[in-house]
Parts: sequence; C-alpha cells; structure tokens
Amino acid sequence: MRGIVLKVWAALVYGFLFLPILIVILMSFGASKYSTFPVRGFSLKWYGRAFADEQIVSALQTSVTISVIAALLATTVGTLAAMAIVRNRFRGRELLHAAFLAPLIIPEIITGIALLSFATLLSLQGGIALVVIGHVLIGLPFVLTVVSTRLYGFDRSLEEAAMDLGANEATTFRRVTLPLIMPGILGGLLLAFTVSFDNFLITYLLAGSEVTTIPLQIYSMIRFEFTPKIHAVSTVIVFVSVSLILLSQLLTRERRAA
Amino acid sequence: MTAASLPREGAAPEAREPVAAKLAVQLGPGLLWLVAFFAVPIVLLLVYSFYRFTDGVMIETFTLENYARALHDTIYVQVFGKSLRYGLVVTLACLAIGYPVAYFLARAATRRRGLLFLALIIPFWTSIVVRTYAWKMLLGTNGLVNYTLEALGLIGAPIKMLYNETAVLVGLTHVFLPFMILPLYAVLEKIDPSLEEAAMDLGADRARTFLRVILPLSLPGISTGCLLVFILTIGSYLTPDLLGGPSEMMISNLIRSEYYVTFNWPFGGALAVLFLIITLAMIVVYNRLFKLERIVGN
Repeated sequence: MRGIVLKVWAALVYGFLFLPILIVILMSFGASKYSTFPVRGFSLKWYGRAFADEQIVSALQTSVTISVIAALLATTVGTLAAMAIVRNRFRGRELLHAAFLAPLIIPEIITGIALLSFATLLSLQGGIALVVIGHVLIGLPFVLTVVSTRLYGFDRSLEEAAMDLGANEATTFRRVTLPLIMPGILGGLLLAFTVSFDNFLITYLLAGSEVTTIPLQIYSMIRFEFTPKIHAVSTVIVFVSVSLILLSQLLTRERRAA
Repeated sequence: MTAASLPREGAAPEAREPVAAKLAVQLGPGLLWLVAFFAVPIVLLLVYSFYRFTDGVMIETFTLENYARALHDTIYVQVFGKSLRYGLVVTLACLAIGYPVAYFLARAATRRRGLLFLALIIPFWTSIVVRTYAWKMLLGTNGLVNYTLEALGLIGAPIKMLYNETAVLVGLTHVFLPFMILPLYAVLEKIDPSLEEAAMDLGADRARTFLRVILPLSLPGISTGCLLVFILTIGSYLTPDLLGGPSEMMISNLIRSEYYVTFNWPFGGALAVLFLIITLAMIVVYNRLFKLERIVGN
C-alpha cells in the first residue's frame, strides 16, 4: 500500500517537473501561430522560420562563442586549481576551496552588478569579454568539483611507476596523469559550457546593448514578439543542454563502474 | 625497483622549492580570477554603498543614508520581507514534495534508479528561461490548465492565473525542486535499509521508524537542500519578472532597477550588501547547525 502511494506521488512529481518542458516541445511542432490549446496540426515550419531569423541565428553564434571561450578558460584554470587543492596540504586550503565554490552560492545579481561596477571603473564596455569573465566565475565551481572527484580516486602509484621507469615529470603528466583524469576534465568542460550557455541573469546584467545570447533573445521574444519560433529555439537549446549533460554524466561515471 | 627509486629519494630535500613554485603556477590563475573579478568587485560594491547620490550623480563622500533608507522605507523592507517569505514557502514546499520522491528513488531497484536519476537531471539542467516561460503557456488564459478545466466543465470561462503570487510560487517551486531532491537522494541512498528493518523488528511502527531512524540520518541532506533552495529562491529574478505582477517584485528585481533604471548605484549597492549579509548569515547558520549536528551524532 505504502509502496503504491510513493510510486504515484513520484510519478506526479516527475509529471510536474517534465510537463512544462514537454508542452514547449509539443507547441514547437504545432501549425498554429497562436500558442493555445489544444495544439492543432503538425508542422516543422517554426523551426524553419526560427533558423531563417537573423537575430536568432546571430544570438546562437554569440552564445556558442561565449560558452566555448568561457568553458575552455574555466576548465584550464579549474583543473590547475583542482590539482593544487587535492594534492597538497597547505594552510588555508579549505578556505580556498570554499572561495572557489562561492560564486555558486552568492546570488547572481550581486556577482553581476559587482562586475559591472568594476568594469565601469576601468572604463570597460559591457560585451563579450565581460560576459565571459562572469561565466568563468560560475563555471569554475563545476570544473573544480568534477576534476577533484577524479583526482581523489586516482592511484598515484601509477605516476610513481612511470617515474621509476625513467619518465620525467612533464612526460608523466602528459602520458599518465592527463589521460587518467581526462574524463573528469571533459565532464567539467561540458558542465561549464552548459552553465554558460543557459545563463540568463549575469549575461543580462553584463552584455550591454550590443551582445545578445540565446537566453536573452528568448527573453526579449517572450516580452515583445511572442511567436512559436520561441518554442522551436527553446526545444533546440533544451536538446543541446540535455545531450551535453548526459554525455558529461557518462564521462564522469564510467570510471566508477570499471 | 629499489635501485631505480634511489635517485628520487636523494632528490627529495631539494624538491621543496619546486613544490612551492608549482603550487603558485597551479593556483595563480584561479586566485587571480577570484580576486580580480569577484572579491575586488564586491569590495567596490561595498565602497559605493557608502557614497552619496545627488542629482543623478554618485558623489564620493561618506554617508550612511543609503542603509538608513533601505532599512526604514517600508517599500524596501516589504520587498525583502516578501522575498524571505517566498524563500520559506518554496523551501518547505520543495521539502514536502521532494522528500518522498528522494526516498522512492533511494529505495528503487538499482537499474531503474539510474534511469530515474538521469531523468531528474534533465529538468535540473534545462534552461531556466525556457522552464519559466513554459508556465506562461500552462497558466495563461488560453493555457493548458484553463483548457483542461473548461473541457471538464469545472469552469465556464478562463480564470486569470498568471501575474500573481501563486504563479510565482508555483514557478519557483518547479525551478528549484531538483535542488532539493538531489541532495536528499544522495543522503537517503547511503542509509542502509537494514536499519529500518532492525527498528521494525524491535517493534517500532513505520511512523516511529521514520521519525527516529530515517529522518535524523537524512538531516544533512535536508539542511543542504533547504539552504540551496532558500538562497536560490530569494535570489530569483526571472520568475517574478515573467510570472508575477508589479507587487511580486523580489530583491534581485529591485536591485536591478536601482542599477539600470534609476542609476542609483550607491543605493543599489547598499541593497546588494544587505542581501549579501543575509546570504552569508544563512551559510554561517547552516555551518553551525551542521557542526552541532555532528557533535550530537558522536
């Protein structure tokens, strides 16, 4: 009896979580130009129109550019930091770890306006560089966490063996350490990309009038031009995020199974 | 083996210096990023919050009037109060809705558990803009909920469900529910089912087993989930903006409008600093409780 109640409850909650997303996907295939119920007809025309829309395409390009740069930077900086934090005992280590995670807990509005104030003080314009700086901050905690997990599960005798066999430190890193932690690094890269790709508030605060990413484009369309093109673009970006996240899960879980 | 490792043993004393240098290279970029783009900007915000704002210009003279205004003017106090209340309501709603789901997940068969867990990650990582505007299509006058109610003959004409407090609370609960379920699941999964069996073998009923065994053991997950959901909720911008009316404005919306609409950076800065203090206080309280809980556990 209790088992059934739990099962029904879980099903309802999953429904609650998925229904809004499914509705957007369903609507993106509708034929009507009004987003009303019931959804009539089946058509791919809103995908066609969305990808013929110059603003949407340019926003997509901007988003990909920003997210790729932010993810690469966050991954490089975060991986280096993870190696230092996991493999050394030094004073303030715990505090430093907490500091790297802080941008995750500090409300984005504060991070955003603080960076904006700082950039204005230095007479920097809002734009791609500023958005990237903000996105690296919120990507770092994810990279650090995923790469650290990988490093903690790392058998260091493998490195010692390589060095005993005559490899120097650089070679050992390149041929032993890096390949072994690579799934963690790639997983972190994908997470950092997704965090950046989906970010709304920090981008909104820092982008200025010239730069528009996909979340900002969707936001402006919701407010000013509500057409089913929004559903088509949304479906595409949901698909992109979910694929990348599942891939990252696959990369970071694989080792535990082995 | 022994012969090969000898030279390295001999080299150990000199290795001290390179370790420090290596540490600097590894930590340097990250520290630089954190200090230059996070710590220094927040200090700047703090400095601005003590500046005067006269005739639309920021003047570099010390004043406490921004804080006095933020703490005395009822409009601002109300926005903070409402955000905290939303935080509390959404946190409790997520806990009540999410706990049974996390428990169900933790006790599901291994194969199905993996799949259900992955399914939970999908809404967690779906763009918040998409998840929020989706509610417009569910709750709108032509939305799914109104359509269903009308089709069932429960209502004669569409009800206005958007742009009010309920819409905002539903939207927030939807957005932050996974942040509650995931930490709860992580803790519940580690509780050995045999503990429950032992309690019941010793004569405890289900309610007592839950209250005396499962609930206390899952406290770390409850506290983490509650902290996350509370802090994320009070920092929301998009949900009140898209699903609420003017009276559902929350702290982030207020700060943004001070910064971008009235350009009163000192006052916006003061609001942000107060908000930061609230957030940090939550984290400190959490740490205290958590440590306290550990001591009690021992």
